[in-house]
Amino acid sequence: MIRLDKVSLTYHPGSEDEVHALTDVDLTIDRGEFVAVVGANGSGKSTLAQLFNALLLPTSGSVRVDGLLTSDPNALWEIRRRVGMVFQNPDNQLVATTVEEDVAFGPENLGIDPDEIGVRLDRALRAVGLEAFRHRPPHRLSGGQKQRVAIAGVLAMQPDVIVLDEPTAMLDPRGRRDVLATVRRLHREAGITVIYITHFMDEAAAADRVVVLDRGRVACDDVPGRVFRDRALLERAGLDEPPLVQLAGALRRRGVPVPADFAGPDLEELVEILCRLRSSA
Amino acid sequence: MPVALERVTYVYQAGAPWAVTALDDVSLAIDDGEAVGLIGPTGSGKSTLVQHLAGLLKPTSGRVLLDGQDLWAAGVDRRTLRLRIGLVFQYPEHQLFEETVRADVAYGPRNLGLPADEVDRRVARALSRVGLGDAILDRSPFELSGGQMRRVAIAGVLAMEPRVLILDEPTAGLDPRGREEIMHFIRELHRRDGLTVIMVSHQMEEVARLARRVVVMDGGRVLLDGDVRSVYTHVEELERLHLEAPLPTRLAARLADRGWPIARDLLDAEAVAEAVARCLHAGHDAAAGDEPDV
Amino acid sequence: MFRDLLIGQYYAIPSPVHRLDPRSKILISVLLIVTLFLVGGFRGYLAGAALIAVVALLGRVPLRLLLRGLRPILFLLVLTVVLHAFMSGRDSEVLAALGPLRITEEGLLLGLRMGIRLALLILISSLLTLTTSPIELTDGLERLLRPANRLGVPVHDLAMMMTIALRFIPTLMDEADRIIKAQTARGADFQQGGLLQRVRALVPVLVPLFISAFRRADDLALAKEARGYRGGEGRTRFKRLRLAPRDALAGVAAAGAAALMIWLGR
Repeated sequence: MIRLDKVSLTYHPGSEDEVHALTDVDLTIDRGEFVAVVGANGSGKSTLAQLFNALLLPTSGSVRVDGLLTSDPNALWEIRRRVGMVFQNPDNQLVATTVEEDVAFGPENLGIDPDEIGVRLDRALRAVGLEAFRHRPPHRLSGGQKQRVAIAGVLAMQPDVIVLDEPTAMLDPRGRRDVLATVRRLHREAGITVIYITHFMDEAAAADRVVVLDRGRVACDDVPGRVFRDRALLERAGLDEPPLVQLAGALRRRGVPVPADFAGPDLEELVEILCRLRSSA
Repeated sequence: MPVALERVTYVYQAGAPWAVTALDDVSLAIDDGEAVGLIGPTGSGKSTLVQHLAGLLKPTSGRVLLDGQDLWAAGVDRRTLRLRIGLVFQYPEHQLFEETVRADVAYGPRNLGLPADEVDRRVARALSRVGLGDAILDRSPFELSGGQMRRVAIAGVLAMEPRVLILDEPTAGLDPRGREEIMHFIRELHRRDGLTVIMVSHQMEEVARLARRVVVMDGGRVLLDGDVRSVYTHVEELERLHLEAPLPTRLAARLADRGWPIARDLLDAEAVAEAVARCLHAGHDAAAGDEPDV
Repeated sequence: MFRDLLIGQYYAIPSPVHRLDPRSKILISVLLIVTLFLVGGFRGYLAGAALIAVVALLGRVPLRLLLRGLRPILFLLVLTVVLHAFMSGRDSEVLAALGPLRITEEGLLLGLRMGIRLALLILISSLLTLTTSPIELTDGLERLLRPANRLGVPVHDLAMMMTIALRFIPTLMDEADRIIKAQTARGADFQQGGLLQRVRALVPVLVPLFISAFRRADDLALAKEARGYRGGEGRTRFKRLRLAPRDALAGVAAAGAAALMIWLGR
């Protein structure tokens, strides 16, 4: 449902500040997938994120959302309705003075009837677990709560896809956990397509599919288990393996038969594997 | 330079209906040359505590002792004492303001009233201590990368040549490579230069690689204070505070909960893997009739 | 914490006055202020003062808090009275003379009238801002000024600017506090020296704050675009201001009070 065809994006083309942010990217994302995009700083992740909802247009190649071209000015607002986006800085995407008003912002822009907005508001706040925070002002929310408000704000627009651009980069461990758990639950229960950009590899492990960006190119596009096994690739791309995969590797090196493509993402899965091994011994 | 808090209580907006007790009878002593990690959930008082150490806040009750002197006693040269503590706030690159890196790093030394050549010397030294060379001296701090900006900001604090360096979440918002770089020179500052380092952080693994002592705060109080190994193995306590012990420690704890004869005080992946492997082979060998090899 | 006081003017204790629609309160305030300037007699002003006291009582606003609003302009009030006393009279009854300067009865009366009007005006405005939150005021003004759209005034954009400013005040205050502490930790001294020196000492605080504000504005603009914002065209509003019977009651009471003031002060 989202298709990138030989997409390249160059900032300041032709000048001496020219930056090739993305080069020849081919990517297809199907409905209902949970795709993680990982890469070091400067790999082009954020640039890629902004191509999905036409905040940026490619210098060459095309980006299609459900067949609509992002470069088509007439399709712009329909695309932005279908592809919602949550940004990295929790503070700088909250517009209103209360949670309720902020979540209503998106539907207001779509010209939705106020009564319908109320319904969507309730549903969105429930989906992220923040019904009790309706009347709170943003400065009295934690980072994790702010990000969940941002997610609710996107949900209220009833998108098909949510793109999250490093949503946990500025959060404490609790916030990170809450946001990732919320996203995973939304994907599981509501079937929303999720594109999750991150440099936290343990978060990427939660995805169905991991796309590795290295200096503007797609270096790998595969299931987490296979991506994390390729240490050389990760090294080149400036990334680490998730701690859980590292631990599994350490075990394997000592003869513990943990499956080679084990990627977690949850510790409990490793505990189960080890306990099964022990009881069969 | 040893620093200490002695029964410090701090109340924000004391007297107002919304007064908050940020620190509650906190006592903490840090020796010269120690590396200490300060962890705790958001709102536990970590920032308030380090601001007291840096002399930016006056306790509602209790004493702050820098080099044995009560910072807030009458007649004490507070300014001089205070400036021996360097405090690097979270996202320190947000404080940059000068037109050149040189000028920004020089801000601190200039405020100390030092002569121009001493200022230059300190600027150069500070930049090299964070792994930046002369090439960026005349560039605008705002055209540098995020990681470089952060290092310039830290250099700005180092140029004060403090005896104690406090860092609040020094790796916040950085990618794995960036985090590694910053932690590398923080470790160097401690080991090579003998700086007393206090690091406030949520990154338990990073803290473990820098500090031997960890202080855990909760609700304005010191909950745990001891060496890394003993603190990190309080897995349930940490979890209650929404902190996580390092993954290998947690694995060992989970397995121990399930009846495995595995120690709970293991910190790194290799040690835990070793212990798990031994448990499995021991079990296997026992089943096959051999002596357990533990 | 104290940022919950917003700009320090809104006194957030629920009361019947607080619950009124902001539009009614704005219009009533305007009505009363205009009335003040139509009233000449001191009995009218007395009625006005009594009215203000009654509203303060209904609004659960402590009188002390209300009167504090007069402090900054106390000097101006006195100056008004004094200037008029000396300058405004013609050769009517001279009450006192200091050399060439003469205080006339007419001048004094005029000065007192002006001073009292000014004081009452400030008190009415204070009551308005003490019982109406900044965001309510913004919403109310936006609704009231909507017809100005036809004259080309960008009412929606102005209201949005105001809302965002209000939203970010506590955030920026926190940031300013952090920056001040960070620069203090680097030896900055904001207390020392003459005016020029103190202003220059603020540069290391203002520059980062401005940069931060611009960065936030950039991020916010992007986030708003991503959520389909394209200005006020075609937008609906979730929060609807609704007039209730109590607004009608307040309106009638205000009209009555205005009439009373004019009658008494004739």
